[in-house]
Amino acid sequence: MNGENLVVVGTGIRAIGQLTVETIAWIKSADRVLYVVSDPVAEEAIRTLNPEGAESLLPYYDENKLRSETYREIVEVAMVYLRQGLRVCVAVYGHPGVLAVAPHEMIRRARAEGFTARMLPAISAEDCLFADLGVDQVGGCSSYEATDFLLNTRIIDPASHLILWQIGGLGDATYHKYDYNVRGLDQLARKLAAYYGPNHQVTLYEAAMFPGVEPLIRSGPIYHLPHGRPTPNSTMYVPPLSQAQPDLAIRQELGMSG
Amino acid sequence: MSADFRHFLVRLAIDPEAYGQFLADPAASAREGGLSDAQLDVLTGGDQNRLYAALTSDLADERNQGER
Repeated sequence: MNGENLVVVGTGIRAIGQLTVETIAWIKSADRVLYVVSDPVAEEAIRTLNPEGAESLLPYYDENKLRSETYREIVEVAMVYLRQGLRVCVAVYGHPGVLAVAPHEMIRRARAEGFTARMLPAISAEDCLFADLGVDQVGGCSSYEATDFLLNTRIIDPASHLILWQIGGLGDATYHKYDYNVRGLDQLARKLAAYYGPNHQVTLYEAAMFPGVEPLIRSGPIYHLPHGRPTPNSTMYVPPLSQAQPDLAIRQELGMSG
Repeated sequence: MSADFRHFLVRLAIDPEAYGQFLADPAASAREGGLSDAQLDVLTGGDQNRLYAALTSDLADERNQGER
């Protein structure tokens, strides 16, 4: 529990207020801290907490380079340090296990080679969205990576909440420092309109990175989505269209008809 | 103004007591932390782009020097 060779942590969406005590402790005590964060405060915090061991993984990200290629490389970097007998902490923005191929692969590879490895929970964009938009999951919530949602056949329940991550990178598998080459918004709007109708209101959301800053929240009808220009860090929220249909047979069986 | 500004914000990120003081009285906390009025203005202005720019303006220069 406390002697892991590899610990993967998240710095949240904004380091001020979302770095957990446990995450700070692991960053501080590791021999090597490999990090990829977008928040400049998070980067400085990591370098302050562990000035000798901090190493940015950003050099492995290049303009137009396939993200999958970068993920393979940074997994290998972590494995090299582990094989040297170092205690490695990997710190990424958001939650390290949410839409995070490399952290999961690092854990898997490390364990396969006999190292002990653990992932710690952290604040994700979705957690911020629930708080900022006042969304309660009591009616159910489906959550997909936007490109995955677009390219695959999914069953949508219009009576529950729908969240599409990384809408700002829709249809683009490569890394860009600023704007992604967003493709497929027309097709996505068509897909959603089939379930919700073209006039259903959806929200493009981006959590604030610093305290005292309001989140970006822009709402509009589905038909307007192709003109919406989502920012690279946007998440899309689709509220329920209707209430769930009661399962009368089960309710009757349980005497819960109210 | 980036480095000292970042150091102040890092303290808020890793020291709950410092963050508590900032939430209670941002101006007093900033003064105690050695921030200028201009930095306090950026910090409390609620403009994410301005904050990001203020925090990172010196980094490009540092990295360029490091590559030489």
